[in-house]
Amino acid sequence: MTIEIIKPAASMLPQRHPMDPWAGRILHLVLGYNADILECTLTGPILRATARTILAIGAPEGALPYPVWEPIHLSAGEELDLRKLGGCSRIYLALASDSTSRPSPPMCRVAAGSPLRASKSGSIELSWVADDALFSDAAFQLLAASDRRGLRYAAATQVKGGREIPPEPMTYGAVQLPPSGNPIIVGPDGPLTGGYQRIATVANTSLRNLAWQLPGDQISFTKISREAALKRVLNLEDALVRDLLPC
Amino acid sequence: MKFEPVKNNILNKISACWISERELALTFNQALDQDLATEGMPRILNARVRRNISQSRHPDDAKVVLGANCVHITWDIESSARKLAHESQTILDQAIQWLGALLQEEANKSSDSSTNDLIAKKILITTKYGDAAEISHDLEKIARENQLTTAEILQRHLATTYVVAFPGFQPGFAYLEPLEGSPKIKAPRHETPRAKVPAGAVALGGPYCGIYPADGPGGWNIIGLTAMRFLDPTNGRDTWQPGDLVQFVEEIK
Repeated sequence: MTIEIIKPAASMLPQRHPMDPWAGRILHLVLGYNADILECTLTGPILRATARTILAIGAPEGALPYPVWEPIHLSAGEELDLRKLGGCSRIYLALASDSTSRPSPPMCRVAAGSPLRASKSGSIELSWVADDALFSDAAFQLLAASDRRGLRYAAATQVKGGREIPPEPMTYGAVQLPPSGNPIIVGPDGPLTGGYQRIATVANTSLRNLAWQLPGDQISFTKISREAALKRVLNLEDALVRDLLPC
Repeated sequence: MKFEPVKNNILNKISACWISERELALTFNQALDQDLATEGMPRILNARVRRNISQSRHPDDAKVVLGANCVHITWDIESSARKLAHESQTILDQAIQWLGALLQEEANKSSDSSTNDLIAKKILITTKYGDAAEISHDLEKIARENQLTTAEILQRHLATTYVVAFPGFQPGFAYLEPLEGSPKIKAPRHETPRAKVPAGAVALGGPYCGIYPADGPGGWNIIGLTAMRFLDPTNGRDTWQPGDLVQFVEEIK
């Protein structure tokens, strides 16, 4: 390893199911399929290269003072300070495997303006909605009692609570409405089934934005059709082929 | 006894709905059990059917998860995005056929009594109950809601034989359903789920009883604590299966 951790992140773990399901796919195209990818939450680390090193960062556009979604070359002794995540809660750090060896796999960068370079926003799109409760309030605030199991939100004004249901399967992005009226969005480490009413599902391409929300941030929901949600997915799939430029 | 094929009968009783780009909810019309019962068939969603569904593989390698009255099939977006976008109706029709075939197979088996027996084991779960708040957090709440004493609630719970209905929630968890004729306990879930329920908590939620396999959030009513776990650490599989019988036994103080 040619990286030394000067100060660790609050949490820095490889995740089989990252909160941003697109980050790993993009970074593997940027640095090659053997790259190790770590999900950093709340704060990132301070890193120092002990030899010539290549890494890449996955983060919303404009959040960090470093280039994102492209290889970063560090010479021996150079440091990277990722403590401040620029108003987002998660970034992805990709370390090129065996980065001193040659020949290395062809590396790429994501083209400027590509939809793969998304920015953080407070608007979360829903690809399925069973109950309009989520639209009766302008904003929902993310609570600190949130983690990869579930993102808990507080409604600014009282939302009519959901009912109890016979347990049904839950997946990452399922929006549950407990009787309290404060919605919970099931996370990638969330329960397999649940008995609080499921009233909506977050569109797959909006999961990225969800992964970046910080406790205290406010979001609002917009409904799109399943067809439109799938078009957004295909748009990103096309971008994975079109917008990765060799460098 | 012979039964005519019930294929259309079954297919018509499954409704399908996309609930995201990649998740299809197949819900059993409540009349399905009723219809089959009038034809002399057992409950279609019996333990054996649930066991078969939870162990079966979907032809697309999509993830199959069982609910109380439904089955959800979730496709991997990375490998299936184009198929999901362009062949939604075909996928939906095929999914109904797939589930219908599993139920049909079961209906056919039901007419053959030699294969009708479900091999089940009975599991005794030694559990601590008590007035200490850290063991029986919600016993008093449940007693109030049922207008009974805490002793009467425990008496009802201990007199109930539960059947493992279906897996879910977390690895090692199962929804335990009281056998018919068991004494009733009302147990509405908390309005806001607790951020942390301890591993081993024995809890009631709706009509079900369950044991939390690990520390984590949960909205059920905690009435006891057990040291027993139902996840095999060597292979990550549940050690109980739909159809197994469960009886809670109070640990002697």
